[in-house]
Amino acid sequence: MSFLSPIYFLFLLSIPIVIILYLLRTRRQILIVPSVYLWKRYTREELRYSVLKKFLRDILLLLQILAIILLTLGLVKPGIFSYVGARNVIFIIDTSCSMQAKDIKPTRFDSAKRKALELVDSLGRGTNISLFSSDSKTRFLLDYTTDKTKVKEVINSLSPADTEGNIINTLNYIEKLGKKPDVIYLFTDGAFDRDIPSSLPIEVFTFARDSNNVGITSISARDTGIKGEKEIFIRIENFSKDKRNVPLQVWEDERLIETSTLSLNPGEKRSITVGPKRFSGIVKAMIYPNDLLPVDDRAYLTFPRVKPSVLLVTRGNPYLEIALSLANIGVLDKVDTFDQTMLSRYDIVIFDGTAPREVLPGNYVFIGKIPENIPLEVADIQTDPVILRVDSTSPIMRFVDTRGITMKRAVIFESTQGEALIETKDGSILWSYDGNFGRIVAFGFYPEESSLIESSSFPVLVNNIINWLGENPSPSLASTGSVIKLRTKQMNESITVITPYGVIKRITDERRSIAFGDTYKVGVYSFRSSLGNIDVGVNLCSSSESNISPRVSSREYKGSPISRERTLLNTDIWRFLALSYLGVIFLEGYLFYNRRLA
Amino acid sequence: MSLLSPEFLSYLERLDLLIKRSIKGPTIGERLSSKYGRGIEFQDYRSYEIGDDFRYIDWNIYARLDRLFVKLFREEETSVINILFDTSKSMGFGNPSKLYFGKQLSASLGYIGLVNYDLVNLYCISSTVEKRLESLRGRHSTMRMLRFLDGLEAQGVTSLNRAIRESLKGLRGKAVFIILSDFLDPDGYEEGLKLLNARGYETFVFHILSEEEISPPVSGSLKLIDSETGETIELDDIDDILIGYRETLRKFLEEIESFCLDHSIEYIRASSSIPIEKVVLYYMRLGGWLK
Repeated sequence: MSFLSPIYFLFLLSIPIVIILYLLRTRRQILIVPSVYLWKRYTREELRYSVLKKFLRDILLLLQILAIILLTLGLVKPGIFSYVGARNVIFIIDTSCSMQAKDIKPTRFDSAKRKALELVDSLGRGTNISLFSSDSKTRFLLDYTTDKTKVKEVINSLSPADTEGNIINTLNYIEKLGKKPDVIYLFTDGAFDRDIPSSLPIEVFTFARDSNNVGITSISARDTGIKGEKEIFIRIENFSKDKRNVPLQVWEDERLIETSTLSLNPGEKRSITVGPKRFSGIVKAMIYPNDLLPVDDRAYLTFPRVKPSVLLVTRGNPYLEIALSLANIGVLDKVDTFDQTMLSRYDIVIFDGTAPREVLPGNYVFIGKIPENIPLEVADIQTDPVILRVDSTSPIMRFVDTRGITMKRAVIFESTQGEALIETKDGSILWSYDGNFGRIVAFGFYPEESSLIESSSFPVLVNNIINWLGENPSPSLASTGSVIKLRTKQMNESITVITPYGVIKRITDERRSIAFGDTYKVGVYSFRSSLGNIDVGVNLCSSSESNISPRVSSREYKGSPISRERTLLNTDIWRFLALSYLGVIFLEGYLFYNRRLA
Repeated sequence: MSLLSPEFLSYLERLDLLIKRSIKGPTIGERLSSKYGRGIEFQDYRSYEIGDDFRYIDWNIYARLDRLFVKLFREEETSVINILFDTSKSMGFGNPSKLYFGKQLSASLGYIGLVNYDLVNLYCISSTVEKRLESLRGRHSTMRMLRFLDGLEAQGVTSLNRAIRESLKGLRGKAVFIILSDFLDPDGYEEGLKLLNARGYETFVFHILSEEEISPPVSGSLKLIDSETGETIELDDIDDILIGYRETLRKFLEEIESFCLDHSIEYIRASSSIPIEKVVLYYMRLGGWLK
């Protein structure tokens, strides 16, 4: 036993004071006797035969001392040193999607939870237990605690996510936290490819028996380049050991647009193409393999139209501002100087008559000046250039009439990449780029210095540029566990998110952005804001997760013996001590009163 | 004559110490011995044996029976009575004090010895033999003995074993030892009494107690001081302790009594508060000390 507040042991110093007072209280009568021989002999016999009787004679003093001891013990907060099996234990529970497999009834995850709860119960008192869950992210659920009830409560509250697992990341995270556990208990199905480093003090409990699963491991859409038509690619893999005939259905909103039955050999993967077609709304792919893991039997694609947010960097251009106000823009902000940190908040940045030296990849419009790091060079400056060719096939130049357009001067661009939209005899004066650097449109002339500004084609051109730059090249698609970022028109705007597991409300920050990361379930997440409805399909689509066959087996930790150190437990017994103290005081009073009566 | 009243002395003159063993003193006395020898009191006959003194042949029997018989006489001897009187400081307690009671007792026994023409030696003992009055014989020594006893005071520390050893120095022949003491000696008494017994002395032990030892008139919390050694002992709630003390006293007395019984030592104890006449004329006679 030890004590949490040993300073209060000083209170025991009152015991000698009580004894001194007791001795002072007893004033003895002095008596000369013939001999003390018989008295001494008597006291010797008393001590020999009835020590208790002698002590009982001074029971009031003893009770006072006992009361002081009890009071002191209550104040010093006694704790108990107990030998424990391991001082610091970390529990990692795999909450990845494959733990939902039903080869162990009711599920792998439920079995793992049961085992973890049993293990918590079996640990000695004073064991510090910390709890982590691991799926696509590592969650630090509980710091070291000796409160088993709390640990079990948290374990019971866990449920598996529809995400990939990443045990190795979790282990690295724990290592970086510096938790230094004596042993790590890992509860997993072992359905991951990288083996656990044997150097770590890990004991692995695996919960997996079968690999009977067929899943959709990929879904994507590709632009065919023909009038917005797209093709959807769906990949289906058979991870079971038997040949499987799997019915497939593809739905566009409520319409069934594709149905077939796939015959898949063990380990075979098959890609299905749906389209080309102008898809809209929610496209859902479903297979019906009757396997152990239903989560990967469906996948979603959505085709939203998002209004882009635009930042205009200008010293004042009313013509451009008016044209932008007519364009299909969600947010339009105007600044006169540009900072790179602004880039993350906008889909499109328009530099009017100015340009930074370098820009990060993104969607840009440069008017008059260009940065040095884009794949475009200035070849010459031409006065009164004459337009010789216009690329009318480009969506930027759709419905733009350049006939009769004159301009005072223009910068002539030269580039091996991108496309020249308007050309003079020396080179292009309107250039577009779609590549690794993002999408860029560069003006070699100032519109306000040209007759374009007077034409109705100017707002059309601006609108086309915004539409092209702001176009979402692929349908809204995300993986489970990933973060979805959205912007709103105003600050602190409330966004309603309708998830597959319920309705959630979030508020954007002063940057009018929101990052939504609670994408742990497969399904369509619908975001309702002032910009309209945005649907995002969130899919598992993971070969490693759909492959539910155990690749990592159980392992018992065979490292150095677990330290048997003493841990101080705070035993909350002060109430008992206080009651005992009161009991002793009452007993003393009772005895004193009775003695006086006697 | 404050120790003993004349009436009591007259009673004592009729008493004699009942000595069971043959005690041959240095001279012929008046006490009949259990042995046959020279004397005037006829005891028995026996056949003549060569070497017998012709003077003791009973010629009348020879004339009648034609056989020689020798007359046997009971020997008359002098007894040596050694009275060891404990005059240590602890004897000064009691009402009357144990010392005074012991003086009366010594005077009584001494007087009985003197009137029976025994040789009486008085030793005042504490840690050793403090004073002695030896070779008293005959009635005329009474006053000397009484004066000696009257002048005694309680002093010194009790050491019975040592005092008994001291008293035996230079002592020859058989003797009677009468020990008057309270026996409150932490070093014990056993060694001394065994020594007396081993030397063949007939020993009488008179254990004197005071009333305050039998029933201490104390209460509350006490600090007791030993009158002899100055040693102190502190006692609380004496009322509870007294019960145990009495038990201890009872054991102590039983131990002495048992020891004496085991070693053929006569033992009597009495409180100093009992009149000396009753002790001598009743208890001692009842106990077989006097006849």
